[in-house]
Amino acid sequence: MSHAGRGTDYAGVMARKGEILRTACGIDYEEFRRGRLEFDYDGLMGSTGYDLDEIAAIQTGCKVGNTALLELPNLTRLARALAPPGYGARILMKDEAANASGSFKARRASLSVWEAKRAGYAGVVAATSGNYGAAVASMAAMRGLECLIVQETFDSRGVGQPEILEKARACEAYGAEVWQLTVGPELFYVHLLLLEETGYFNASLYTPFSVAGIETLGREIGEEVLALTGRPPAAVLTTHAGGGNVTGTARGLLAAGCGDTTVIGVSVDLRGLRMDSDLDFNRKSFTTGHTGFGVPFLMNPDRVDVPYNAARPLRYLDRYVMVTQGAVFYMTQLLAGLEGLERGPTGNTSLAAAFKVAQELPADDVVVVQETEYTGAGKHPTAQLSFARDNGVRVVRGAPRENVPGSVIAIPRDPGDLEYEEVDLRKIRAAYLRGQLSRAGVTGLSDLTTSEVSYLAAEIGLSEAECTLLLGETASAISP
Amino acid sequence: MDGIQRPRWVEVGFVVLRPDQRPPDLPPETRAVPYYARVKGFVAGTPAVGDTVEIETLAGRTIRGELLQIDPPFTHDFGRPVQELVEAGRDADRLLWPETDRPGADQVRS
Repeated sequence: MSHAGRGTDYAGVMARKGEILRTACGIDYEEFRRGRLEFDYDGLMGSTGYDLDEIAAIQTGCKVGNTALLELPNLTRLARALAPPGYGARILMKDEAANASGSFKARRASLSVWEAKRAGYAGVVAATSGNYGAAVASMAAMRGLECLIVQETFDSRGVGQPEILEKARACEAYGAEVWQLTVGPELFYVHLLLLEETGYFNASLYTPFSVAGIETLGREIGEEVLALTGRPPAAVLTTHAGGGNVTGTARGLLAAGCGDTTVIGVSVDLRGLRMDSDLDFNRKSFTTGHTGFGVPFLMNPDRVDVPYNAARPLRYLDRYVMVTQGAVFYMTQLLAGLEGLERGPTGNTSLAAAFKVAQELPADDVVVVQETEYTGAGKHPTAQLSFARDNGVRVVRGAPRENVPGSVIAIPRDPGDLEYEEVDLRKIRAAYLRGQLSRAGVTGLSDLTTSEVSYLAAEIGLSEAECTLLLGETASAISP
Repeated sequence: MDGIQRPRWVEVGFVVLRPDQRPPDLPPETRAVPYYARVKGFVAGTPAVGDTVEIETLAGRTIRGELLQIDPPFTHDFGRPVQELVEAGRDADRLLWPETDRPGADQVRS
């Protein structure tokens, strides 16, 4: 142990957070701080030292990227049957399950682990219950680095979420030491403790390395659709949790010259379930891609294991929509039964919304679902729905509005039931602004400098004029 | 190799934080229970379940805990068939391939 004789008590370790994180990812975040609320985001993103071509080359070398852009003709035909005449965009899907470790998360892990090796770290640590753990473990295996994965797995009865048990199995298959923990935000404490103990690299989901690794995905989509149709995709749908997927994909689309593409974030609606509740933990069927992460990460992206989160989805999101757990399971079944592809389910969150979005767009438009993920024991809809039933959740056929997170999963009665619920991004942006102003101790609009207004406008993806208007309104509280 | 026991693949568990050491802002049901960890690795000798042991993890580190399981099994699976899902797939199939134009729909095995 190398805690340098200092205690490992909760408060003591948390107080050393800044120091531990600085040592563990080789980025001096202070360098990017600009006053009380601004930071140099472009500078941070540029600090990886790799351009997109170099990242793509590194990824090719570790079995990542250049995944197939699959046509989904049968789902497109079904969407057109439900759409007004002349409507029903062509649905394409990027088969990210083909990456090493079976998900787009391999893109995020590839550059982080490459950097860890280059900088001379002996191992990597990541705190994640999702596909990212397997991705980091897989990359560490290729680079000959040790790997520790810390995941929230069990409730206090020792009952593990099946999808997370599967991730632990995969991590161990790749040679990682896996810490399986009970429910609680102290995951971060254990993460810090292990970083300090080992001196390993913090393969955080939220460093510029992690986000830059996804930019290749957005660029591939943009370039491939341009080559296929001569036009940028009308919309790209991205499953949204911590914000990296939206941010990296959107930045990659911009790099491919697809600035006019509508970027739509999609989360599973789990409103009402507490993420830190020992009782609620096993009443959800999605461990990521849901509103329990998606909404708070939009309102405050910096609630993470690094001082500044490189994933800043409000900068890039044009729309944010929610779908139900039942809709995603149903879509997973349709993908298997109509397109002959067993994938997901979590990766199909954006597909569930894309099916409806396609119906609202002209037939000569293209919508892209930007990921699939592998499926298997624990992850598969039958595993998740059986587990839900075992935990007292009712599974029925019904319309999306019949879903009650934690109590009822309604599998749509027919494809016409598939819909999404729009989230009011204006309220989210207002909540973001309120949080930023309060943390910086800003008392009112007149207290802000021109540069600060310009920074905040970029942060929420609005013009300065729109941002100023919203700043004026935030004084009168808007509940998120 | 005679007489030398191969290290066994096991799972240990240990309390990371007792309830009174957990942060105060947790929901009561979470704060009422200890923050508990399980880690797998190799143990030397022939300890019994319940013993306090040291394991060597796949990362080559040593961790001490209560021996919970020897050869810890995978408990996740594909669950049970979900009739609602099977029906849903069949319904969508019929929408896309109405009986008349569905390849093979007129073939009846006798």
